[in-house]
Amino acid sequence: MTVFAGTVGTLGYSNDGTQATKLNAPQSILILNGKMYLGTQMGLFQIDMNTKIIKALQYTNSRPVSGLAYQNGKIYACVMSNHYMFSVDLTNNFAVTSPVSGSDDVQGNIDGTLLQARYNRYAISCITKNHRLTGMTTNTNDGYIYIADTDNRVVKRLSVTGNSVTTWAGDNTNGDGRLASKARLSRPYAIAFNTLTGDTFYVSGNIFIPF
Amino acid sequence: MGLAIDELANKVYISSTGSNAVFVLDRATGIMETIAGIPFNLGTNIGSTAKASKLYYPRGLFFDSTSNYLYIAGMLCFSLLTSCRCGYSCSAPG
Repeated sequence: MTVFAGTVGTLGYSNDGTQATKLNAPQSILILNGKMYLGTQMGLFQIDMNTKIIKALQYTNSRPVSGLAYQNGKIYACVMSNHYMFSVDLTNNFAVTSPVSGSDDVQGNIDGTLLQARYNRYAISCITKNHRLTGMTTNTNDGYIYIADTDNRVVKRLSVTGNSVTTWAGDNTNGDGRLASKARLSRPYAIAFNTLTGDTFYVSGNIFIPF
Repeated sequence: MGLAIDELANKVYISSTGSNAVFVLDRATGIMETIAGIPFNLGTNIGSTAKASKLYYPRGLFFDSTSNYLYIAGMLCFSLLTSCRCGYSCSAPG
């Protein structure tokens, strides 16, 4: 095991254009075309995989960026505890749209347009079905961004082109379930897809569950 | 909590933030084992191997299928750690 970035045991901050030798609570990772996108307590950063030079893309005032997804040239970032998502356009000089869905510090459980939608507490993880295979194939991308909406106990999915957010799994109660659409999830924290097998997974508390 | 999938090897990596360890589930055999950290022993001691290292609140994971490295966001050790694909031998990136 090696340290790729930061200094173990040392909280800190690395200035733009320097090597990422100090980090503040890194939480989410996405690697794309030789760049690492890193969500931390301070915001969203880009790190060059070869030089390890860091660049700040968006500061979040100490609100942790807990989940990252990539779709159509943009990084989508979930902000834990503040119930919203912002985007960074990699094809347009890192232009930020914030919020792109939800509302900063306004919690709820509402399906609707991107800005009408409300999340509760965490929105801790978000992914697209193809994000780990970008550059290899995109034919498994179904066009949605999936969001583990922890304290609503649901998984929502978001369509940017359709300007809609809908509940995809869970019915906002605890307990066991069967079909994903009818499942009762207990605080989903992380979700993942295997695009080769079609399996969907999520982690809830200390429980790992294949859908 | 974090999840990452090694699709070609059909393995799922799971970070358990509260128990300070990362586990790997082999979907073919159903066997799950610790791949990084010492469960329920938090720390910031990075050893020669992932299983000999102590983690402090591992959270996000990303499996880079290009390099076969698993990246671990060590939330409270303030660093990004890497470990190669379970069962593979490879040199450290960077």
